[in-house]
Amino acid sequence: MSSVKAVEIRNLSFCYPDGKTALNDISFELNPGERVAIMGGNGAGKSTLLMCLNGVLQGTGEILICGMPVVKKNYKPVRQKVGLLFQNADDQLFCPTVYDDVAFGLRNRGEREEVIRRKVAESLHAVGLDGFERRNAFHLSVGEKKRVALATALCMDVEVMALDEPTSSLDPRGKRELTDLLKRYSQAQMIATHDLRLARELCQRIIVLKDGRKIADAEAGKILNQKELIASAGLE
Amino acid sequence: MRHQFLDEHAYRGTALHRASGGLKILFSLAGILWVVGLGPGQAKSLAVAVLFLAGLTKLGKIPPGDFLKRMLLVFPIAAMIGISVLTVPRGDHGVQARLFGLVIAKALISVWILFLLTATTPFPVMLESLARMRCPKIFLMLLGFCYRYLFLMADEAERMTHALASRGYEGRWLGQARFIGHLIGMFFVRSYERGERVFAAMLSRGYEGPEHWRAYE
Ligand SMILES: Nc1ncnc2c1ncn2[C@@H]1O[C@H](COP(=O)(O)OP(=O)(O)O)[C@@H](O)[C@H]1O
Ligand SMILES: [Mg+2]
Repeated sequence: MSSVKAVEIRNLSFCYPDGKTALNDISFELNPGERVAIMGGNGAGKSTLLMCLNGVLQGTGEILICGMPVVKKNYKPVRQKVGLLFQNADDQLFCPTVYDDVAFGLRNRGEREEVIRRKVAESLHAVGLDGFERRNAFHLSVGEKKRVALATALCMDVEVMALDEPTSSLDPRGKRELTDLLKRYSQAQMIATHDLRLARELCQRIIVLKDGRKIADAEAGKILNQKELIASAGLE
Repeated sequence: MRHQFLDEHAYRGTALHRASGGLKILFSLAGILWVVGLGPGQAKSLAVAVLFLAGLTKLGKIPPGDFLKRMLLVFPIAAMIGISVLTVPRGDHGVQARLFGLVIAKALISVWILFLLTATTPFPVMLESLARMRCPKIFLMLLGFCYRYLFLMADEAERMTHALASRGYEGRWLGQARFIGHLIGMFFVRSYERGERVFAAMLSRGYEGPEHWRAYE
């Protein structure tokens, strides 16, 4: 298992239908359990990159998740390995109750209802929201919504978590709680963000995107010391 | 969140709230059919219905203010239908007036029944009950999405009108039309994009189409 990379991306490019090239020849790998920050200003291509990971968007080039190529016939197993967290939790929690939301993926996987009930309870516990099953996402705070969204990924026993700006729109305490939570999980994590503090605290490694290209990929400390690089990527 | 939501009062513990959802749905449907079928000579039955509903409303501890507000909301629609009845000449003025009153009363009572149902049954319970009554899944899914996103969309619409107002828009009659057009267009685009994102989120969690969708089983 240890020799198989959690994520391998080779020469990935992506062009939106209107002709905008959002990703341009991106390549990198991610080891199991590794946390990497994908940094870049608005429009750098972070969200597009994450959406390519499980085939929601299809670019050119090659992506492998735990050794499986992300191609149509593998979508099902790939999507069970990758937990995608959208920037806006309201887009992710689309069911009438928290329970249905967390159970959605499990039901699609064909689990039995007892298993589902147990897993939902476990994953809500893992994000510190015991007993939230019957609540409606409409009435949760932004921080709680983000945590429910995390639970929807955790319950699927994913091996890669792709988080799109997880701390944007959270207040300082919400940010702290979410950061602490993410530190506890052992999955490989790809965290798209333009929050330097979050990257510094969570990630050993940083990849910097600019206009759809990878312009840096190194240890977090090294990147954060390069003031020019940070500035040219529009991060500060 | 400043908007009222559909099942705002539905999470209390009165006997009416505790009654089975399926039973309440059946009774509501039967009640509406009965009321709609009443003829002009059955004013007494209507009065009985009103008394009965008033009792239930009291039993369910539903604040009269909220109840009246919803009734006022539907009143113009009921009145329009009533007026359309008046355009067809039937008998003398007395008969016309009675018909007019009957149509409005029926409409209001039907809405009252639905209001009671939603105010005493949490929406998820309603969906589960409908599922048990073999309601088609695609319909349940759509209802669920409506419940989840209706008020979010109302908020969005409100933010957009606030943005317009904060830029000095006063809504005079003729100039208004153009901006309302913009607003509706913007609203459509935003809702469409949200739909795309929600669908991407569903795909990401293994959704393979309504025929494979399992819930409420
Ligand atoms: N649906 C879309 N259609 C066309 N262009 C898009 C679409 N979504 C994003 N883009 C463009 O692709 C580029 C990358 O966007 P995105 O991946 O969202 O960046 P980020 O998440 O880093 O802010 C941007 O220039 C953006 O304008
Ligand atoms: Mg983005």
